[in-house]
Formats: sequence, structure tokens, C-alpha cells
Amino acid sequence: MHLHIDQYAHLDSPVHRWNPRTKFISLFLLILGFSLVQDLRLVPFMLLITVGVFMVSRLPLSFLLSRLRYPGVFLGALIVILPLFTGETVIFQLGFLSIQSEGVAYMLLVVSRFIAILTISLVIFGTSTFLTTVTTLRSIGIPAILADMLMLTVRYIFEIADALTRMQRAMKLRGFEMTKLDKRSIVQVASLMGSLLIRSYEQAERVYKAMRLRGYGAKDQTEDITMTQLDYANSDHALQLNDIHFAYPTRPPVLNGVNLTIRHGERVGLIGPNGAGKTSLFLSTCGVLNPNSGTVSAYGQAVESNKFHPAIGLVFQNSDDQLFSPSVREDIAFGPANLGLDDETVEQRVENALTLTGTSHLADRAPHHLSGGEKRMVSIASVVAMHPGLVLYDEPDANLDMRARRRLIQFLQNAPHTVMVASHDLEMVLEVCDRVILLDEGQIIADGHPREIMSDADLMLAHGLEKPHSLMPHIHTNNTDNALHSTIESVTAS
Amino acid sequence: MHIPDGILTPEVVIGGYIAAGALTAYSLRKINQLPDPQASMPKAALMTAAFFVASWIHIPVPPTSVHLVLNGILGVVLGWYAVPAILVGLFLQAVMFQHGGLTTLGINATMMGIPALLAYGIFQLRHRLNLKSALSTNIFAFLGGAFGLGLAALIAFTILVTSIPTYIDVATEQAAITALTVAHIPLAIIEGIFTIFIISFLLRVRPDMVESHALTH
Repeated sequence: MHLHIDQYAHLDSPVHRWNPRTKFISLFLLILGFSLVQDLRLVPFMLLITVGVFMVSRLPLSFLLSRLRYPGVFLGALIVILPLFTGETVIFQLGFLSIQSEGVAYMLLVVSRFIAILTISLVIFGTSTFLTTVTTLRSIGIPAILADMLMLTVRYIFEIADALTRMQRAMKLRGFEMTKLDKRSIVQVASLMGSLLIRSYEQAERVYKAMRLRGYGAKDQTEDITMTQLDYANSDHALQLNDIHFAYPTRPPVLNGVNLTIRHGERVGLIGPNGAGKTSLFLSTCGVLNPNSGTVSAYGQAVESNKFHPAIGLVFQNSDDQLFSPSVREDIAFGPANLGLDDETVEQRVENALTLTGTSHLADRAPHHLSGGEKRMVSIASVVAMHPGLVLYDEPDANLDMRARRRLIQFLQNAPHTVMVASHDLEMVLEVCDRVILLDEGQIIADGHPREIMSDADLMLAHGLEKPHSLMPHIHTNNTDNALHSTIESVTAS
Repeated sequence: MHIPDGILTPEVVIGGYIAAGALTAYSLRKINQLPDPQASMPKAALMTAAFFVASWIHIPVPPTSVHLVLNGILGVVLGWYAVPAILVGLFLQAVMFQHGGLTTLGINATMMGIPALLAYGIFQLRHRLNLKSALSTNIFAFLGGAFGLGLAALIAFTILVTSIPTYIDVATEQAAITALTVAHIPLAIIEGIFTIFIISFLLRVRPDMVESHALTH
């Protein structure tokens, strides 16, 4: 779904170049002025000003006409109803229908005001990007919570609309289409709406975690955000976990006594079957989850639950949870701005992160219009711009095509920070990591060199994994490789 | 249910902005008293987007089809956040689709926001009255949904009819308001029925979104 809200925001005209704040205030006052027009004699002046402003803006006439489509029905109704039912002085009579002069005058006034106000509104919002509009609204004093809600709502409307389209298509493919208002149809459509609300609610929980991890609300906390000045290279360790236990309420333990030390500059792979505790370990490491017992510290500073720790970054499995701003540049700037840095430093960090991740050409794009691979690299840029010492990557190559995966691997091989990557892509772990940790049932089963651990077919098999193909001797054809087939069958069965 | 630009008198336009400003300020004050208002903001924003999208679904009412307004259930789920959510939603509808308008944003937000908050109050009444059965939940869900739309329609038609100089007497004006509101009763009933089933679905799958209300968690 595309609403083309910024379609003509990048044209070049005096109105486009006008200071956004002055433009908004001036044209909004003009609109309010138009709504005060009560005298039909003022209408020509109002329309003249409207035409003048619209022409100077160089917005296409087709843009205006297309925007009149929705309210056209209402406009048509007014044109018909007002002359017939408003007034006393009949100027034309056809049977029982009579057209009154007061009604015609009032209709002309209302329709003129409507078109003038709508046109000037289009000039306000059509000649600036939506992001500029929100920034302008914030600068003229609308509460921050409204501005933030506006930004997030616009960012996720497209995604939620796409989700609705997919769900409706799936229902249609299974034979359901609401053509009448019976109980079954009402239940189905209400369930569809309920599902949409729940999906949005749950995504909001993940988005909030991503925002917190990039310093959202950190200024209200007491922690010292100058920690970004930590000397990562000379710290004893990047990460230290001591006897971490964690369980969700009324469920079996997810983490069961995890002890781990990672040095700065290491590239560590975290492997294990589904449900092994990889994501929970990451969330405990960065303070999103509060372990039931045990301690976490990064670069010598304790990680506290629900408190921002600037030395740790997390790249989420789903980039859409992480990219919550209306443009790539704004998204990357979100974290550095929360660190309290001045505008120039924030801009510098954004440029550096864009360059490092090879995403400079995407800077002014909307995140929801990017491909999966582009979203992933922008997600990484948004974390890298915070200058963390340790970055946790949760399934970074999920749903990437070959080219995007290769680009990610090359980035991780040269990343300027400590890397911890949880993945089912064992070949990628082999290429990127110099150490691997095998986790199962919340416990560390093995910790060592990737080739040594992943070459141990029995160990891998015992924990629901498969020895990577690149570590198998290629001496059999596919048809006669019984050992490989039995391994695959065992893994599938387990 | 959106009053467009150009039709209202200046007094109503200005009065609408004053009322919406006061309602929003009061709601934001209430939101700031919640345990963690920052944590709730993303939820409110995404739920606003979800309600916005859900209201596009066509509901067939032969010989035509309608869209649900959903302001009643929005109030039930979002509580005090319903007012900023409605303001944001109406602003986007005005800018993106030219539904409603900039000069009528205040009056439209008031017209939709007050019934949403009242719907929230109605739904919460069952706690105060200690009514815990599924039937009472359904009844209060229906009342919340139907009342949300019904009251919004009554306010809208009162404003519209009294704003247009029709050269008719007060009695005829009142009759027009009553007739237009009564004509919306079937839509209010449909809105109430959908609210029952949406609330039932949420209670079955994510009860925490409905009990108390989602954004106080």
C-alpha cells in the first residue's frame, strides 16, 4: 500500500524552499482566515489567493484533482442539497423542487471555502516531507508524545495494511469472502480485526525494546551515558556472564546457569537448536530480560535490567521491529541523539555508519520500502552509530538472499566491534567466527574453535544440529551418501 | 463521520479547537500519571495504526457497504490514550485522504474522543458493578461500541444542522437531528455487535489487552 504522502515534496519551488516553520504557521493562519469568510463578495479574492499559492508551489493540478476524489461525494451532496433546502427566495421552480437563492449563495460559499482550504492544506503538506512536517509541529510546541505517536503511526500503517491484505488474501484463498452480514461472517471479520490488533500490540512490545536499547528514555535515567567514552580495547573483557538463570513465569528454565566471558574483538558464534535459549541469552545480556539470578557486565560496567547500556547493541531478527522512523537517516540518528550528542556529532555518526555499512544511497528512503537485505544493513547501521563495543546479532541472515547474505558476511568479518552472532546458518558462523558456543536447554554444552566443535558430528547430532556440509569429505555422490542421509534423518527425527 | 473543511461557522471551528485542546491536555495529564507512560507510547501508536487500518475493512450492509468507526472499542482498549490516538488518526486521514479537514480537526477529535472515553467508562463499569460473566462482558462491550458511534453521530448532526442556516424553526431543526441520529441506529447496532466479537477474541487470545486496559501494563 502506498499513500504517496511525500510524492512531490522534493520539487523545487519558492514554497518548497520556504522555511517549514514559517510556511506552516503562515499557511495555517491563511486557512483559518478562509474559514472565517462569510461574505460571498470575498470569495473571488480567496480563490485568487488560493490559485496564486498553488501555482507558485508548482504542484501538479492532477495531484489536487486526485485529492478531491474522496471528498467529491460530499461536495456533490452539498451542491445538490443546499440550494433545494436552504433559504426562502425561490429563483427556479420545477414541480415540487424549488431552488432558493440563499441556498445557492450558501452552497457557493461553502464549496469555495472547502476547495480553498483543501488546496492550501495540500500545499502545506505536499511541499514538505512528512518528516519535516512532524519536526515543524514539534518545533511549534505540540506535545512530544503526539509527535512521537504520529511518527510511529505513519511508519507502521503501511506494514499493518500489508498484513491485513495478506490475511484477507489467505481467507479468500480458503473460500471466505464477506458478502453478507450473517453471524459467521461477523465472527470471521471480528477475528481478523482482533488478530490485527494483537499483532500490532505484540510488535509494539518489540519496537519498544528496540527503542530502549538505543537510548529511548535514557535521559530520564540516572545512568552515566558518558560510558560511550569507555576504552573498549583496554577493558579486561567485553562481556561477563556469571551463573545466569532465567525462566518465564510458570514455564521451565530457559537459561540454566550460564557462565561466559568474551574478550574485546572476538567474533563468537552462538549455535543451538530452536528453544535452546539463544535469544533469551541475548536479551538477558543487554538488559531487556531480568535474569532470575546471576550478574551481567559489559566492559566492566554492570548491565541492569531495563536500563540502557551504551556499550551493548542488539540487531533484532526482524528488521521491521528495529527500524521505526520514517526515514533511514532519522532512524540511524535516533540512538546518537538519545546519547545527548550535539547535532553536528550526530550527523557525523550517521554519515560514518552509512558509509561503514554501504547504505549511503538509502539515507533518504523510507525503511518500509527497502528490501530485506537493505533493511538488515540499515538495522546494523542504526546500532553501529551508537559506537557500542559489543554487538549481538540475532539470526542476522534470516530471509536474506545469497547476495545480501554475502554482503553481511563480509561486513561481519571486518566489523570494528566485538561480534556475537546467534544463527542456524552454520556455514556463516564458520566464515565469520573465531569461537563458537553450543547452547542447549539453557546450558553451554561446548565452547571452542568453530571447526573443532562443528566437526564433531556426534556432538552436533546429540543437540539437534548437523555437521556443516563444508566440513564433510566430498567423496560420495548424493545417491550413495548413506552416512549423510542417516544424519539428516536422525536430525529430522530428533 | 468526519465533518469536512469549509462548512462550519468560525465559532464552531474555534470552539472545537479549544475543546479538543482541553480534552487532549487532560488525557495527556492522565497518561503521565500511568506507571510507565513512555513504555505505552509505541503501543498506543501501533494500535492507532491498527485501528486506522481495521476501519478500512468493508462491511456489507445491503444494498451498500460501510466502514466501522471503531471509536468505542478504541476507547475500551486504549483508555486515556484514545484521545491522542484519535487526534493522530484524524490528522492523518485529513492529510492523506482529505477525510475531515484541518480546520475541523478540533471538532472532529472532540466528537470522536468524548464518546471513546465514555465507552471506556461504560466497559469498566462491569468491574465496579462486579459483573464477571461472559454475558455481562458482551452487554457492556455492545454498549461501549454502540454508544461510541451513536453519541458521535448525535454530536456530528447537531453541529451540522445548527451550523447550516436553513431558515427553518427550532422544532424542525430538532426533528432533523433526531431523524439523522435515528437513521444511524442500525450502524450503531452493527458497531456494537462487532465490538462484542472483537472483545471476545481479544479476551480469548490476549486478555491483558482488555482487562483494565492494555496500556496500563
